[in-house]
Amino acid sequence: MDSIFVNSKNVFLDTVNVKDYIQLDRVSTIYQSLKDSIKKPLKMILLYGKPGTGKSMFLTKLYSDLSEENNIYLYQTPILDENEFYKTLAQDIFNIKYNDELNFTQFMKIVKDKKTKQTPIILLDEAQLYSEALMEKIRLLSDTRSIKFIITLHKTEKEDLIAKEHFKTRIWETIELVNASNSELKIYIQKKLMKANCFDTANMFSTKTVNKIYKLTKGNYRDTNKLLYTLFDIYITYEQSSHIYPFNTTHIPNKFVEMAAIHTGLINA
Amino acid sequence: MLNVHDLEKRWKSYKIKSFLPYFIITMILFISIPIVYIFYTNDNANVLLHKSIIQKKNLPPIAVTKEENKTIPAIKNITTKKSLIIQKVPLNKEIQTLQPSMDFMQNIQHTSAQPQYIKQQNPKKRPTAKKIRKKVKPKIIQEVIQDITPEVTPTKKEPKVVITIERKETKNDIYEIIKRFKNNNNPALSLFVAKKYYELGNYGQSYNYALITNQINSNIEASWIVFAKSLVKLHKKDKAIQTLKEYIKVSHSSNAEILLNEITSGRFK
Repeated sequence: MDSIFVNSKNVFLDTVNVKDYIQLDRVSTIYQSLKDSIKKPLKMILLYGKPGTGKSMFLTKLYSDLSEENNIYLYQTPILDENEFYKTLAQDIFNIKYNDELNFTQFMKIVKDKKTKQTPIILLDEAQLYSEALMEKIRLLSDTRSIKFIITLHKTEKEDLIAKEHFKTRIWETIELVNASNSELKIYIQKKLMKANCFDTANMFSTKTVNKIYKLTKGNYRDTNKLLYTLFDIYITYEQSSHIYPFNTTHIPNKFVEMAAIHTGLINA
Repeated sequence: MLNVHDLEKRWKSYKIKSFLPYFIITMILFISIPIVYIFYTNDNANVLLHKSIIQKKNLPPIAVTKEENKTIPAIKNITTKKSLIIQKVPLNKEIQTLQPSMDFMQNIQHTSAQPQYIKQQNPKKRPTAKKIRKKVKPKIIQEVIQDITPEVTPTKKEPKVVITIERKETKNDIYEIIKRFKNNNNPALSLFVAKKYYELGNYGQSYNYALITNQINSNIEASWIVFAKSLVKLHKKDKAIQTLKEYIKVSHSSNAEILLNEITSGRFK
């Protein structure tokens, strides 16, 4: 029988899995507004935020929820080559396979000629990796209203520039994702553990411990996942090794949290 | 499996690092507070010492001995303290400090002649005379101290003494003059006494002394005038008028005539 710490550790594996999506009040509100925006005749929707605020998870969840009813396509890995980008879209949306090169003009012609019943929705993750030229062409494509784009960007100064100046003139919806607050982080951790039936470990996260975690991660979901994964790894190591540590299932010692933070690089020791 | 040993070591060094600033601050406070306190107290002591040095510099060497002797509470202790002072002060210094003491000698001689006036003067000067004397000629000092020491205690009642000065002086003057008059039968003195008694409102005595003056010398105008005024004040207006008339016949005194007119007209009562 696996230890409770092993199960808890696996809960915090940093993967983008719809099953791991945790519904928080604020996130669910944003998610609902995004779903509403898709129904509107908007050309593009920009989803931005700092790394680890759940943008990829958001897109994955949206894709998972709308894929049955909508003509929706998710590209988690950016297609950096322009020709390859058009060819992939032509094949996925219009089911046209091109062996030769497909340039922007040719793709535009296909988009105009091949009308679909539903406006296809293209979800582009990590859009900050696309070149400015390609981003401009994506904008032009969205102007045709034949394809709707939802893109995610890391929030940096440069990306803000793209969001505010380059695309601001277009009819856009912009949604910002932010880090969790103290209380949201506690709900996030406990919900995540309880979802995996780790009730004992979920009860170990007192407000004091969560505050300590929040102080280290600043509410960043990715950092929190990494920290808690290492935390439970420490528990497992102590449990399995000859070190007999007086485990207390009512709370997590600060020492363990700090050790996990040192291991993950959140504390520079 | 995590290397928990290494992680614990890193954690320990992290804790030491994290507590180091607090430890340093605490140590600095623990060290600096006593230093500041010592410095401050030393500074105050230096200031006091400096002040005392300045005071010592300002005062002549005699002043030190003066203050010691000021505290002498009673005559009984004087002889013992005298010997102490003589032991402390070297002979050379005595010679130097003796110079101003000669003035005090004079003062003492002067004041001893008029013991009643000494009380009214500044009593603080007196002990200086004592001490200086002690050093110079022990035998003389004994005499002086016996004279002066009783005056040290009355100084506390200084205000009362001061209040009675004026009246005592006047009465003393009269008694002095009466004594002198009894010795030499000088009409000027008896006339003075008569005038003084008249001023003090003792009209009976002023009448008597004016009569005595007139008996010694019947040509003193002022005496007849005081005599007449005293009679008026003693409600013997007719006798006063009669006396003045007889005197005017003999002397043709204008002042007597003026007084007579005033008495008869009722302006002098």
